Amino acid sequence: MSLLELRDIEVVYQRSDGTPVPAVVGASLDVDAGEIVGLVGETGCGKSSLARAAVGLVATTGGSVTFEGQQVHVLGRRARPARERRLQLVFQNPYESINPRRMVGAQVADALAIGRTEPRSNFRARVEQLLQRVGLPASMARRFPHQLSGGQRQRIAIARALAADPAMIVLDEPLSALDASVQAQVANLLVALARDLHVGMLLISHDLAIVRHVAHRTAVMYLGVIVETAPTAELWKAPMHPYTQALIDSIPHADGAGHLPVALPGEIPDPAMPPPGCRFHPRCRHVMDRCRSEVPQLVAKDGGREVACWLHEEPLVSQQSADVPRMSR
Amino acid sequence: MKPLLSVRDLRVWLDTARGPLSIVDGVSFDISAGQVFGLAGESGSGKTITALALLGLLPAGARCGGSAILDERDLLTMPTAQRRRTRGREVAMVFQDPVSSLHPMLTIERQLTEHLRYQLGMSHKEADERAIQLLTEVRIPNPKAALRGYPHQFSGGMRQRIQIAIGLACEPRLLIADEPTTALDVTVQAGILRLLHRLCEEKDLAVMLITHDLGVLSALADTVTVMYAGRVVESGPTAQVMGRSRHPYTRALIDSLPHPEASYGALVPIAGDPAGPESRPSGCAFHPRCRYVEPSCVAAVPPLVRVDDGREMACPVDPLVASRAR
Amino acid sequence: MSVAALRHPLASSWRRIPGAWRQPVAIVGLVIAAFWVVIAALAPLVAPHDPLAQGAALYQAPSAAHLMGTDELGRDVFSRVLWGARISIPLAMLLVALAFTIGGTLGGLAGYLGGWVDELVMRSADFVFAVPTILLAMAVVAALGPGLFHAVLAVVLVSWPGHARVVRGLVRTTMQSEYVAVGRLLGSPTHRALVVDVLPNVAGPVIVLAALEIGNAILLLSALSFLGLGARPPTAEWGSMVSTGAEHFEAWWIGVFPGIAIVSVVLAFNLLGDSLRDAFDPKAIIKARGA
Repeated sequence: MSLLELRDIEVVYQRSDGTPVPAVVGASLDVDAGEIVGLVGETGCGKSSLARAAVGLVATTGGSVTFEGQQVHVLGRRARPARERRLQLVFQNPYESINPRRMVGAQVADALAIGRTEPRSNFRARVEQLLQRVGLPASMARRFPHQLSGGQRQRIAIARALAADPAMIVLDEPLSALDASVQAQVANLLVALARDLHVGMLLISHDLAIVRHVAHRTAVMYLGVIVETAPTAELWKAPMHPYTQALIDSIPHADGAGHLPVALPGEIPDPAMPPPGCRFHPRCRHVMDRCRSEVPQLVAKDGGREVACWLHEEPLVSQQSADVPRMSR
Repeated sequence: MKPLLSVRDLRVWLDTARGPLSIVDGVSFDISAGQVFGLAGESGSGKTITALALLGLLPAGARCGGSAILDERDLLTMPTAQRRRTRGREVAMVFQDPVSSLHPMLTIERQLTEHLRYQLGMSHKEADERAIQLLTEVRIPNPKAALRGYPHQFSGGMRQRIQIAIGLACEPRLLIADEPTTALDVTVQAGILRLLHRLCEEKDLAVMLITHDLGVLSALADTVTVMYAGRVVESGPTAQVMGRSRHPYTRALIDSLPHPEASYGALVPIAGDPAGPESRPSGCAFHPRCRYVEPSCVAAVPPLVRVDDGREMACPVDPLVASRAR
Repeated sequence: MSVAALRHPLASSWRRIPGAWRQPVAIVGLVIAAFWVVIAALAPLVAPHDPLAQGAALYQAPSAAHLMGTDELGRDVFSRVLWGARISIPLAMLLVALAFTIGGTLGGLAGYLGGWVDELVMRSADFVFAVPTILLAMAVVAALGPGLFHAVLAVVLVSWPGHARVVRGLVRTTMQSEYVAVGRLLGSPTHRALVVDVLPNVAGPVIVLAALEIGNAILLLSALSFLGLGARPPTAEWGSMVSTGAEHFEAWWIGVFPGIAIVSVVLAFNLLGDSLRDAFDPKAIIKARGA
């Protein structure tokens, strides 16, 4: 049993005109302690919705979220149950996720004040400890957010999550709002934390390249569906899903060689009106007849990989799709 | 070949209560027709302000000096009326965020043809035809129907293409693109890069590509100028500057990026934060973060020196530069 | 983000107040307001005559003995103007405190609870907004009976919706912010979020509104007294003095000096409120993301 288990999650939003938008359509993912799982996808793939559902910030319309073996509750008026506080979320925008009118040290100490496991007199020392853990000087505790750079603010956000002594942290695009040279610093910090504190991380990002350096396993999402998961090295060496391949091909390389990246034809469809069958089929180079009408399921393959693509399934005589049981890792 | 635009010693500063605050501190470069000129830098490098200065779009309170000669006219000292004609006609700009740079309440047709009718005096019918032609060039499907649409009906990538079409409407000679793909998905970005490449080749268009994304520059730019804290630290052909980078900042920046080919393991970050105009260190602005720092770096601002392979570099420590200085 | 350093800091707005008050406009406001507050406190000591004493000659023009002349009953206008401050200013402050407490609480509940509470509070506020302020105030006083106390109640009644609306908006926006979500994820009960996150964000604008409202309150009180619905004679209240002055135009000093007093106090508090608002309002000098 994994630390965090997402099973067949479905999240539906209401658009302002009332149309239901299925942001996530049956996604399953596991994260273990000390493991960093990267969830990669482009606009409209539902990765942010999945991240929020994973911590109970939004309600799911189907499926289940299990943390440490128990169901995760949706955040309502009541305070979050104590044991769920070990499941934390770091938001994307460090300019919005920190209260501009409070000192950052006080905000880092929030979890301590709420949790009441430590006496107040200890707070200062703990905050210093946490700041050091994320690579910030202790003197920063008395500063206000506007005095800090983007990278420093994001570290504060991470420190604040660490104060709750989490076993699992979900990070929603933690690096996107940062400068390139600062992204590497924070990325390295995440790797160190996972390793040293044995914290599991679910890292959401649109940047496949940086996830490559940080995540042990990578999952790729398209239009609400997880299309492939694999150990990161394997994913890059031999991507199985055509969308994964397209993502990899479209990344420009900073080597001065002047190669234009390959463009993927078509556009991401409206999530409210997805294509029938495989959602990627209108843009897929390898599309077959089957793809247009039958929805491929996420199927386990060798080496701890999963892929949802008819290219990798045996052609069947019958109409029913094979129901291959998921192999335990 | 004579360059299309020649910028010399461009300076932009703010007059604040505490004295002038330098944002761009003496930047020089040339852009030639049919060439993609890349301007690279992070926050605080002054790259966007440089572009705004060229177009006369600096925010209130900012002043500029130096020269930017386009066809024997100085863009920086042009009278307002002439500048308005030059903007759009000869120099066009495409911004990062197509959400806010397209008017949400005007149809695409209106936004496209406005320039054509105002700048070129076309009739309604002529302008519409040209608008359809432009939309076709930027590969918008169904251009006739698209004309009647509003920006919110299009995706981010489409809106960016529309913005480019508007920029190209009056057939400018120079297109300034400020982070044109930063807000877009990577697969959509690839399409926009290919579009810009094609337009550049087909129309002999000069493109000034401003971005912090070195991958984008590597793919599209012919020459790259790297800025840090308002100054140029390295410039030259892309193959040299990025393929065989020498300047400590450029090297450090490239090393801190995740390369698809690089081995796994920790990225090599640059210590500290990018220097902004308020906190610019003395001497070489990068020296507090530099691995190779020496006393000469702190003493004076290093000048830009031409080294043998067509590059210019501002670094007193680099052996190539040092040998030139002697 | 580099030029973000040029943006006015939000949190240390309190520290920026001294800076904002260095501007001439703000200094003028502060000085005049402080002057009147001091007068209100020290009137009994500073006023040369008893404001109710009718000893002197009637309708005397301003002179050395009576700096602002005497009124229709031989009372010293200058003393009455000074004593008028003792009515208008403390009452206005009390009034604003009440309006802000009632309005702020209702607005806060509306923003926090939403649903029918929100509807109830906001529709009531809309009702008050729909009716011209002075008419509503007059109607209330007419219903309760004339008198300063009832006038105060009336002005509180027409003022609370303004505070309610501001507080409700701020509470709603803040409750939806990401940092409140973070707090909730850390296990914070919502009432803690109110104190720790919402309050610091609400405090600033509410104080600005209160400062501006003091001027408004003085104006309204004076208006009601002018109409005979507030202070009763022989109380030395500015509004009723202006009213008397309107009946005795030739003796211009009877009405003009109290009028000037009203104008100067209202202006002072308005300037004060404006400068406070500037201190709290973050304005980006250059908004450049990655210049």
